[in-house]
Amino acid sequence: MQKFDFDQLAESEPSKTGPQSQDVESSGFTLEAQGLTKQYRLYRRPVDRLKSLLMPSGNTGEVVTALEDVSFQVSRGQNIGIMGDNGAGKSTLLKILAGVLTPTRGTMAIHGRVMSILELGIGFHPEFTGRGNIFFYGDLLGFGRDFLNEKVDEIIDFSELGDFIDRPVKTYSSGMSVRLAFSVVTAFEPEILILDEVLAVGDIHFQRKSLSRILNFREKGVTILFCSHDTYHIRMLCDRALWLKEGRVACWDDTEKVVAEYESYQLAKEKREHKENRVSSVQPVRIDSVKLLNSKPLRRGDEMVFEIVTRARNNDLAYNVTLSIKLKEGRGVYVTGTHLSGLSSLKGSRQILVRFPDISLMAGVFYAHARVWDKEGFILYHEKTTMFFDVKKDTRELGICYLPNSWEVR
Amino acid sequence: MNIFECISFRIPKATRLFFPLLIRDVRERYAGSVLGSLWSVLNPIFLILIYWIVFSKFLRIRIPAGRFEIPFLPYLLTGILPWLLFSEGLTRGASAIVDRGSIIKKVFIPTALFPLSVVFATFFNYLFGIVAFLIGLFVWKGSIDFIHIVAFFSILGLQLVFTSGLALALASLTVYVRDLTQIIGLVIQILFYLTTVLYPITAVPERYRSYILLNPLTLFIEAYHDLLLYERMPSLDNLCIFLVISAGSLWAGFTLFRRLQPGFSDVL
Repeated sequence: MQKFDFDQLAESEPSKTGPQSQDVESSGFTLEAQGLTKQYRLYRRPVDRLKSLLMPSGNTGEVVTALEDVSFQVSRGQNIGIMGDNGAGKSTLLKILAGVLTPTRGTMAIHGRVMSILELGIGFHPEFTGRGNIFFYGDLLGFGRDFLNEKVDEIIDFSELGDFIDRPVKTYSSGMSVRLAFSVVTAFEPEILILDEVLAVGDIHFQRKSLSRILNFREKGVTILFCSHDTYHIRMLCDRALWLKEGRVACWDDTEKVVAEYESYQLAKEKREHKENRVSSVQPVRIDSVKLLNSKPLRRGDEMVFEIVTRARNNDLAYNVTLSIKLKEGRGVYVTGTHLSGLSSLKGSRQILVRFPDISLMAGVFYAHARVWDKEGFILYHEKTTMFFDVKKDTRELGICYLPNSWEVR
Repeated sequence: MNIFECISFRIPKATRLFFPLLIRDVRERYAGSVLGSLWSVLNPIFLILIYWIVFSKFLRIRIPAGRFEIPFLPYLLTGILPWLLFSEGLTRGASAIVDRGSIIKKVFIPTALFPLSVVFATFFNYLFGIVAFLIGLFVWKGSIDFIHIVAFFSILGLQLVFTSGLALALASLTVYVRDLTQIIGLVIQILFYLTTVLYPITAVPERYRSYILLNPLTLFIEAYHDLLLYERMPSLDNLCIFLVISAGSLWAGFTLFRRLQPGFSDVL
């Protein structure tokens, strides 16, 4: 097992073969983290920090723990999703794994060349052009000129920066910087790729391209550590997931299990917040009630009707209502809404009936989630959920939802 | 992994990184400015011009050499070029880590290379000027001993090592105490007047002379004066002092840097 410092540098040799690869075979893991803990000390003055570094026994500041006793092992080619609330320690963990932060305690071993995009960038030099930065970064990582010359066109192509590639990076938008960063990092053939919220920036087109490149890497056996708020991407890309809660591992298991637990935790948290909302009642528009009007258990083909009652404090304020049908675990099945269905926004206190004739839901426990939004559908005013309701199965087909189909057997 | 494997991997990588960084640091300084690298020539030229006019023409400083006198301009140039090399290398080197914060926070690289490459980049910025000056000196004097040139560059090399050590120490301290940048600027300005760049050591009253010689830069610059103008080799004692202070500075700089490095990305 190795520690940081220059040893890891050796590991990230571009042309490396030899001792490290044998290590992989012997231990079987690309990445092992053992009891990683990161504590920040807050000092009132920066000088105190300096003193404590020079005289470790002396002055100690207030300790804040960002990460506590995180251990996990990743095999070659596994994609790991890392999720958690803001401030749960995701970025801290990724920075430690990337080697830019030193853990307070714990060890880690990484076998293979690590590339990372942290804090939406890879440290471009603002005065150099995009092209200059490709070489700068390549040099920093110790790639040879031949390799860079060979890769540069591919990088520029993928980034779709066009003429901007020969302008200084300081003129780039944040989306453009991330595009370049992603193109550079993925072109340098990483064995371990660390991506922190990369898909959150950039347009849909580039997002799709990046996703397909990540999926491609996965097939090639690249190990990817991927952090996102979006459980959708994690579910799509990752084999296993790590859920961090207040710096500790809350769950480390197959993606589906972790995502399900995480989402039901999110839901419980939302519900708690609703209760708090009820007390404060300062929203301009509130949902008085949302309920399912059907009394019998539902079956496929039934008509499902919801009633939403809203109360507006101000009769001139335009607002929108959305209604989501969700699985018990909190995963959405379908969302409809005034602005989503092309209806005009509402004003004043209303009683709304939402009808779903001939439902396709098959079997399972569901609930509905009603939300009121501002005129543009950006700002959430208030939300409320129904009780769980059952849909009973009456065929032998499986699944949560019926999809029309026909079979032609030849 | 045993220690030999560590070393065999780390040395080639660090050196491979060093030269591209160096080239960029030489270029970077003037990226984004209109006149570009012209500034690296114009700046010192104007500085030298103004010192020459004020100290030689207005204040009439005399540089004695036995029964003769040495003109002020070669005396000034012999001292000021190495001085600028030192002061600029140190100032830029001290802020090298803070300036590169955005990279250090995002990529794993040996951070010690940044101050080192900046110090060496400054050397290359001045190398052209130094060579031009030596050619001018040769033309003016008619001859310079080859051994003196070799000794001059050797001592200049030691000065570079000395500067590197200081820069490493200051660069790592500046991360934690940002005010240091201001303090360094002030101290360098004071040191400049306490170094024998603008006046001969003989102009300093006897009882202050030993204090002036406590300044390591005075020792270096006196050695350059001796070599290029008085054609004297430095004494063995002085050579030992140069070796000791440059090695000591480099060792201390590296030790402090390694001690403080783990906290860099926490603070940057």
